Amino acid sequence: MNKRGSGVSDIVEMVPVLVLISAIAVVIFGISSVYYAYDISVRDAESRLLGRAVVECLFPEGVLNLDSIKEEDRNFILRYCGIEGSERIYVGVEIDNNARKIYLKEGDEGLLWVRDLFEKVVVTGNAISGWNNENVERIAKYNPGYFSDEYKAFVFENGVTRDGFVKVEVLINYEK
Amino acid sequence: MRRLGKKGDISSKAVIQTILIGLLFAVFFLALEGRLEARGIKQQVLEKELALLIDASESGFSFEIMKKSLNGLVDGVEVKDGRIYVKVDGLFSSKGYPYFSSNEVFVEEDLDKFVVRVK
Repeated sequence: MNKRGSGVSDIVEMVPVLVLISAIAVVIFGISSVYYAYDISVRDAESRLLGRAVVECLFPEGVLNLDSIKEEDRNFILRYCGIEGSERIYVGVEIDNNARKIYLKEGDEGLLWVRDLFEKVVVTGNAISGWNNENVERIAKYNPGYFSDEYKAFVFENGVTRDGFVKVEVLINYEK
Repeated sequence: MRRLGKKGDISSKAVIQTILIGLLFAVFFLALEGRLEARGIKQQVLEKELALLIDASESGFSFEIMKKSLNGLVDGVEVKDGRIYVKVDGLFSSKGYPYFSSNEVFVEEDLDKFVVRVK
């Protein structure tokens, strides 16, 4: 074989070796990426802080003035409080002034369903038949942060102040 | 019958192969080094701590982040579009972590620290 031909054949012979070594390197790197990856969840703390921010916005001195919250703001309560919403956040406020119930919210209420599912799977570990502890831990890192509390407050509406209760619920989902 | 290549041909082939394989492994180990030092985790810890501090802060609060910390050398702290980005040990932050404070947040750099102010 002439010199040019032997050079080309050398390169052709080396390619499978290089591809094999690259593939092994990628596999080892991929395994290390998964093994060393770790998500630190602060979603519960975030939920609590956001809940507190909403409470301080709506009734900072124990009086909730419903007349100041326009109808169009009732589904965008975070925007009303000057807080930027996000698709991973749900905030729900239930106001009971003994005459009727009023709901304020922002975000996807369906996230609460996700939380209920995680409650069953992570807490009991056996909601899904055949799942072992390892699988539960694997999805536990996606467990959303949650905060809920009920407060006594005065609710001012249409010029009338009534005793009432305000329930605040905040859910913060895993960030993709 | 194919003649065996000359000694020079065989050794030059071996040298080229060794160099290429060495380069591949060098790139691979450089990529792995970041993982083994857990820079990503240090960055995550700092970003989330700072995001929570901003969330919990009221107007007028400020807090400092020393450049030399237990979590490594903090090269940069930046807030942009409601997210906080921390550069640790040369590792850039591409995603950052979101905070939800309704206050304005500023970052100032000093000689040995970063100061985050919430206004």
